Amino acid sequence: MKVLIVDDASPIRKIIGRMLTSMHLDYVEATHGKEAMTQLNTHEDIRLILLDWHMPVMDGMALLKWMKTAGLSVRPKVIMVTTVNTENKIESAMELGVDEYVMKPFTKEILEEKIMSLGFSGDKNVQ
Amino acid sequence: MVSKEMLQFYFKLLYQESGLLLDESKTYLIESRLEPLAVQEGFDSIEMLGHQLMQTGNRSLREKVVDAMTTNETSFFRDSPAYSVLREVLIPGLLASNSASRKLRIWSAACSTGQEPYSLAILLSEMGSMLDGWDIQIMASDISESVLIRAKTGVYSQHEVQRGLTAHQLLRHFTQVGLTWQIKPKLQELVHFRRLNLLSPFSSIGQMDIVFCRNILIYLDTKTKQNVIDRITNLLAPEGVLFLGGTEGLFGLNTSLVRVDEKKAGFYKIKNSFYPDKQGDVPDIKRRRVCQT
Ligand SMILES: C[S@@+](CC[C@H](N)C(=O)[O-])C[C@H]1O[C@@H](n2cnc3c(N)ncnc32)[C@H](O)[C@@H]1O
Repeated sequence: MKVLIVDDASPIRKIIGRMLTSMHLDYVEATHGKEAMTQLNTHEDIRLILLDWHMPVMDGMALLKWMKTAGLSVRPKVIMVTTVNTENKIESAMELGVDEYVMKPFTKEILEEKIMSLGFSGDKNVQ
Repeated sequence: MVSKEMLQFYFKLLYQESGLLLDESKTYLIESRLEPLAVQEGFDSIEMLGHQLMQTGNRSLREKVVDAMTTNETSFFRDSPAYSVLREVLIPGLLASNSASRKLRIWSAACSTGQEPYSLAILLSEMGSMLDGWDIQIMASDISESVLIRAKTGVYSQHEVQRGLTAHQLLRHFTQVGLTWQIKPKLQELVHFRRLNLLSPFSSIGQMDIVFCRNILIYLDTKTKQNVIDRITNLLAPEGVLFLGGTEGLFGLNTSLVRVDEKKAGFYKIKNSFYPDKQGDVPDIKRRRVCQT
């Protein structure tokens, strides 16, 4: 199983990537929604997406909408990881099927906790 | 640098007032936490603050020292298995045993900034209609006035709400106010905050079905722990449960409580309510079920 990090900021992808490695989780990256679509079509074992909201080309909301109709064989879980932090925006993301929501800035512990609460924690995972 | 004599004075004051046990290895704690207080109260140094306390015994200043030395680290649903076992096993059990009175009394005995009692309130509100018509009270207390003031407001930072709450819980039970999040009034009404020092008598608060006394015993010596646990045991209902912090235990204490481990959580019950005739036995949950059926 793999995690897909979708964020246009490479430092954020790096930080999250390091964190996932320390949790023994494999990951691939995308810098916006379009790239994420390609990754999802290439790697059928993506089970979790860490998704930024604002990105060039195609943003997080657009990717969520695409996922609803894309007919993926398994719908990955999605954690939004974004600076967008207003109640109604969070609500609208949850309505599009987001499973968890992390507001930036976040600590490693917070993201780790959310990832684990969705049942992902390294080698113990069901593939 | 604080003199040895002054350190001893502070150690004694803190031990007497709150049970907090420190030694010279914790000098940095005294320095880092009391220096800001000394400045705020208009003293040149911790030393001067101490002299003032020695000479006048100023009550409110003593309390401020105790307050400044408390460690208030906490989070929503901290050590989450405790909350799962309450939801899945213990509260349903208490609803059965209290069905005549339809009352449930809960005490968060060192509640810090309120995340613990509010987590309990959230848990109860998520149990739905099974609690309809029940008289539920969550009492939350702490020695520190400043944490209680914060707790009562029910307002938390973005960072605080992200620790332990799911996004669904955040949206359901909080309202955003600027950059902060305010717990909804319906939950706030369930929790009654008051100042209470666990070293002082507290039997007047009445019988409790669920007691949370978490991450406070670690700061106390055996004698103080024994005293606090004895008095908590006295107000525990016959079927009541006591939760300590995830890393705390009653090791070395002489109590009529037994530890039960269930659903990855550990908690304590009064021996007799398990085994009327098997005192001292370590309970095992399967046999308990057999006993009850
Ligand atoms: C580390 S916090 C634990 C908060 C919460 N129970 C938890 O587990 O997350 C410890 C709390 O105990 C309080 N405390 C310390 N000494 C106390 C005493 N003698 N009586 C009542 N509360 C005390 C402190 O003010 C602090 O808020």
